[in-house]
Amino acid sequence: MGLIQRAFDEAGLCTLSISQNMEITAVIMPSRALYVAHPFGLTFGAIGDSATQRAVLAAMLEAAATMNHRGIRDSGFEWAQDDLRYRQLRKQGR
Amino acid sequence: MLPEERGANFAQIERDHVRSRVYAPFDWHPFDRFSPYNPLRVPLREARVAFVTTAGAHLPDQPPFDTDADAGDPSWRSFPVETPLAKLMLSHGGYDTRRASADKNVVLPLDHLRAFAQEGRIGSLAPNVYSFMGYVADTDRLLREEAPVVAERLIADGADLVLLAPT
Repeated sequence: MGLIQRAFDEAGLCTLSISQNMEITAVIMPSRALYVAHPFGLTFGAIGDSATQRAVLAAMLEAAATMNHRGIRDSGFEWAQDDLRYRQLRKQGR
Repeated sequence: MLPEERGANFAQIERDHVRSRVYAPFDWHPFDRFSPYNPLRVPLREARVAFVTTAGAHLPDQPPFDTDADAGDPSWRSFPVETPLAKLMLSHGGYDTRRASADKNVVLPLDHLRAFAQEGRIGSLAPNVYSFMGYVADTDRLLREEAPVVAERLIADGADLVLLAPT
């Protein structure tokens, strides 16, 4: 995602991405990213959790409008439902 | 960041996993500076917002992404932003698409984005959604050919803001 964003930034587009892994985003260094600690494949929240999905999308828009510098902003969204993200990050689950 | 995530270098874990299981030449493409920051030129309530995903979404009559390619598939698909989520398919080898297929808003929140436009929180939606398959280990074609073409399309679509969501 970060590489694609870099190409868009170079083309002059205003962009804001979600980062699910700060370390990888710190290597790729796209202009602006919002860190969301949700599992891969559940980027905006759990199945049927419309409130969280909307809240993450709203946080993206808020960051796009107010983050006037390059870097990564921590959204505060975390995943406490199960250990899926923990296993994914350690390559013990998809 | 959760306490259990501290102290683990997940960039290195991911790199080692891809090298050992999928694509031996893989390494991160490091950069020493951020890409340019282009400010939003209009208020959100007037902005035309575009959405780009790496969920591997595509229409049924479009070819699926190549989930068997060791180096990944850098190609992209586009579809109208009005497309009902039920009509979209997901092809991606990097995450379990069964969860997202049960509620595509978890990776591609078009229902919510369309609602935001109707509620006036954003000005309008750009006419097309652009979709990649997130896992691309050989990044040359992605960086030099595919992503710049999509950038041109987004400019032609009149996008004031591009939101990008990984999976």
